[in-house]
Amino acid sequence: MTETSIYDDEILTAFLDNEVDAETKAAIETALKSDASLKDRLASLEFPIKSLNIAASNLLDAAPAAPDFGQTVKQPRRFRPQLVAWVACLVFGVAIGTSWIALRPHQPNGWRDYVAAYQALYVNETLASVATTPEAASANLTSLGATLGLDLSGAQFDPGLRFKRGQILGFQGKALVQLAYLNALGEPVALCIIRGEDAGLEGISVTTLEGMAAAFWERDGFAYLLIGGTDEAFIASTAESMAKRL
Amino acid sequence: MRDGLGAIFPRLWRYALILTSNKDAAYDLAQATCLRALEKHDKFESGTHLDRWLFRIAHRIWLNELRATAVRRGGGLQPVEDIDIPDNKLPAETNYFVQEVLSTVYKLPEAQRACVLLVYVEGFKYAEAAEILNVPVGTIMSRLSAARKTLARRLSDEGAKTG
Repeated sequence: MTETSIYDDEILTAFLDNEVDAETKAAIETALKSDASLKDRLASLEFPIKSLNIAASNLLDAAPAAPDFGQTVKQPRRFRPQLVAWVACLVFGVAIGTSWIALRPHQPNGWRDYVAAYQALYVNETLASVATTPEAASANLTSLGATLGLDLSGAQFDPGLRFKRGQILGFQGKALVQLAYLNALGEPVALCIIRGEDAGLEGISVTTLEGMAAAFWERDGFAYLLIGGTDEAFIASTAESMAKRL
Repeated sequence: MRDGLGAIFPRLWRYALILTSNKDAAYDLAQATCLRALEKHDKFESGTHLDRWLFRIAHRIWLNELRATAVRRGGGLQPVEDIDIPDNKLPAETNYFVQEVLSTVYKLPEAQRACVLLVYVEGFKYAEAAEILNVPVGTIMSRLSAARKTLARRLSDEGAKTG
């Protein structure tokens, strides 16, 4: 058509970023005077860099303190709950894909064993520093509920559990929501809900998985697992009240 | 070297945060980068830029060690992280828009996010970003172009363009 086609978006980007040579720069500037469509194309590449820079500078202010890089840090920390939790996420995620399934052939309880193995990596410290407000928790649950297709508002408050956070996971392509709580002893407890694993079981079964008390039930195409701590009576009664509220 | 690491650490953490979208993972990546730098301090040519060297190490660790096992977007496990960091110094509306810009950047593909951070936030030239990411300059250009287009489109309704 016109001059416009000479300059592709990459050159225009480089022009905006002051990364073109003087000759190209002058040529584009000249073309801009007469070519409205070129101006439009340039505009379609502009975004608020200043706002990004403000946000980025806020991030800098929020950066954690640098670790002490003296002799001590060269020793690897023996225990890092945050890293453990993160690595757990990664391991769990990869497991969903392929490898772990092959490595761990004995999973008679299906998704529940994976959830239990994941939950077993949680320690009291994992959730201790997670701060949430009732509003944020409620928004978190609303958004997860929408993803899962289930109203989760009843999961926010429980007499024996303090809600910390919820996240969406996946198991063999199925959405799996993990709601993490602390019990009165400060131990992590999770309520995991998966869609499409309803095997038609009735009632609440209480068992032990990976050394933790666990309660399992199904309803309306969703399967539920409440797991954490060692108090089976507590897990059983909490499962019962959760099942009523959800 | 240790002083230099301490000074650059917040920037490194920010870069790691943009790469990983997860505060804990960002801290671990930034720390792993510093430890690796201390181990390999003899490889660092004094007189060259420590920040670029560190960013390069961080990117390599992320690609080769951490991300290799990470769950990619769209599959598996995705932690939902609230990475908004409010700034009370700003008026609410400005702050909202600033956060909006940042969260739009987070939604870019990882390779584009890294380029945006290095060039538009850190102020590296294309050639420097290319060296850090170990890709040709043309790749930086096309990633930034794609990122700009997406950001412009998604943010066009949000506020005035200040380029």
